[in-house]
Order: sequence, then structure tokens, then C-alpha cells
Amino acid sequence: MSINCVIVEDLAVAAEYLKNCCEKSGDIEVLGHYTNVNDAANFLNNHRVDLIFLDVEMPGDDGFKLLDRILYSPKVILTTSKTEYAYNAFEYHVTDFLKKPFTYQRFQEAIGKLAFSEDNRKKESNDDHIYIKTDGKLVRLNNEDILYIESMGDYVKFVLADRKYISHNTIKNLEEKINPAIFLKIHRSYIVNMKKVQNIKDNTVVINGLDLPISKANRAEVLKRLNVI
Amino acid sequence: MEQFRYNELIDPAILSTLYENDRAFIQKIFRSFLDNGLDEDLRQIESCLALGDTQGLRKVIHKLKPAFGFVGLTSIEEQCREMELLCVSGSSLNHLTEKINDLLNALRAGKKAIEEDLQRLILIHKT
Repeated sequence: MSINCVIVEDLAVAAEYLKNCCEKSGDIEVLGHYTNVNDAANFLNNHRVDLIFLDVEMPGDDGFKLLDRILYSPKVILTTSKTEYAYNAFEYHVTDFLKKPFTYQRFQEAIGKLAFSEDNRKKESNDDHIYIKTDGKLVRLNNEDILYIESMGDYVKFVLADRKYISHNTIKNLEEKINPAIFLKIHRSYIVNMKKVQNIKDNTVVINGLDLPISKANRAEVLKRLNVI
Repeated sequence: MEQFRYNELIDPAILSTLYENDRAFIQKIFRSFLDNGLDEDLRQIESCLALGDTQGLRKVIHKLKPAFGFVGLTSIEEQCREMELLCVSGSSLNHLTEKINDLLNALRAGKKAIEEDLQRLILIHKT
């Protein structure tokens, strides 16, 4: 990951420290440091940046006013200690808070969240389908069509209502890649589409009339996902 | 490298955590702490106090608080935190004045500690 950023911070030591953290990371280029919203807005509306380290309380307008004035939406990490800003931070999709003074490790955690949210964004953009390799081609499967996925050693079977596909893969690998809002591992050999569950009895999930086992280890998670009234 | 003994007001563990004992970087931070409006901020505290401007006091103390944290003056940082709360609590001006004067003394003592340790760091660096 290589990103550029701007520091908007009226406290000189904090800005100095942040610059050092960015330099140390080796991944983050600091394009500028501004101590007030006006100067920062002028720069940011003429240069596209990936990230802003933003203080909230500064002379003149506060940091959130800056976000109102920028014509695009860079990632934002707040550098403040006041939890009162949490609601605003949520409204402005702020990635993280760094409470001053913060350690380099904490800085790295915040940067890590940027990568995570980027991964999530990519995932969200195509989270309604997957492509699987089968019979020498890539086949698109819509999540809503998959009933469940069954392990077959080094292969897995994707079971749909009207057909099945065998692909070279593992349940463990799939578990990390498929949409967790829809699919859930219920057993070391099964991942099921939770929207397709008809009923659950004892240690069995019924999907399309078929009984699939729930392991002891996964039972609590399965029950947690059910909307039991 | 010989261990540097900081002024007793400065928490060496904080400096070690933040700067991994990189003395060149610590010098840079100490210099930045002293050279970027600290005296002006102290004068502003006095002026806000004279005017009874508690909102102004809170703002300038809020700004100073993490600066003292970055240089390891954690007890003063904590004192700032308490004062910030006091400024919004509706305390009487008399009570506030006494506390703010205590804080000003602490801030000045902290500044002096950083000035002296910066000079000692520079000397060690030269030799």
C-alpha cells in the first residue's frame, strides 16, 4: 500500500510526530501540513489526496468543517482525544481516532484499518456473486442461488437448487472469501447459505429438504445468526 | 550508549514508548515544543483568566494538554485535563483563579525542565 496524506493539525509537536510516523512506515508520503481549515481546504481542493490526519479543535473552523468543504472524500483519521466527537466521526465515515499522544504501534493500527476498509469496499462492490473454476472455465454463481457448499477433500461441491459444481478448493479458503453476511460455516465440511435455511432441529440444518450437520464448535454461532423471536 | 537521566518531572517511560529512545528525535520534539507558541499560549491563559473567559481558557488548555504529553510531562498533562473539566463545570472564578495559577506554575516548571534537558541533550550529542 502506498498512500499520500495531508496533516491538518495546529499542535506543532503532534504534526512533527505524525510526520515521523509516516516516514517510518515507508508507505505514506506527507504532501503538506496545515494548521487551519482554510489553508487545508485550498490545498485539498487542488490536489487529490488519499488520507487526511485531522485535528478537530483548531483556531477558526473545526476539522469537520474542512470535510464539508472538500469536493471529494479522502479517508480521514482524527487526531483528537475527545470522545464527544464520536457521533460526528461516525457521520463523516472517519476511519479511526488517534488520541494524542499516541504510540507508533497505535498509528500502525489506524493505518491497518485503512487497508481493511479498502478491502471491504472492494469486497462489497462484488459481494453478490462469486466466480468458481470448474471444468476448465470460470463460472459465475450468484450468492442467492447457492444452497450450500460441501467439502470433498481437496475439492468442494457448490450445491444449487437445480445443479451442482465441483471445484478445486477448500472450505477453509472459501470461508475467508465468501460474503459472511450470507454464508456461515456450520461444520468443518459445510458452509450454508443462511437465507436458505428452512428449519433447524437438534444438530441439523434443513436446506431444500436435505439434513446438514451442525458441529458442536459451530452451534453457538449458528444460533446467534438466527432471528429467533 | 550511556543512559540519559531526564528531569524528574519527565516520565522517561513515555519517551521510550513514543520515541524508542531516539535522542535526535527527542531533541527535535523538545525543540518543536518550545519554539511553537508555548509562551504565547501561557500569556493567553493569563489574559483569559484576567477576563474571566473560561471558554477561552478551556480552548488553550485543551491545545496545550497533548503537547505536554508528547514531551513526557504526564503529570502536567493530567493537570490540564482536570482544568479543562473545571472550566466547563461552572466553578467560581475565585476557585478557578487559584487552580489556574497552580497550573501556570506547573506549565512553567515543565517548560523549564524541557529547556534544560534539551540543552543537556545537545551537549551530549556534541561530545
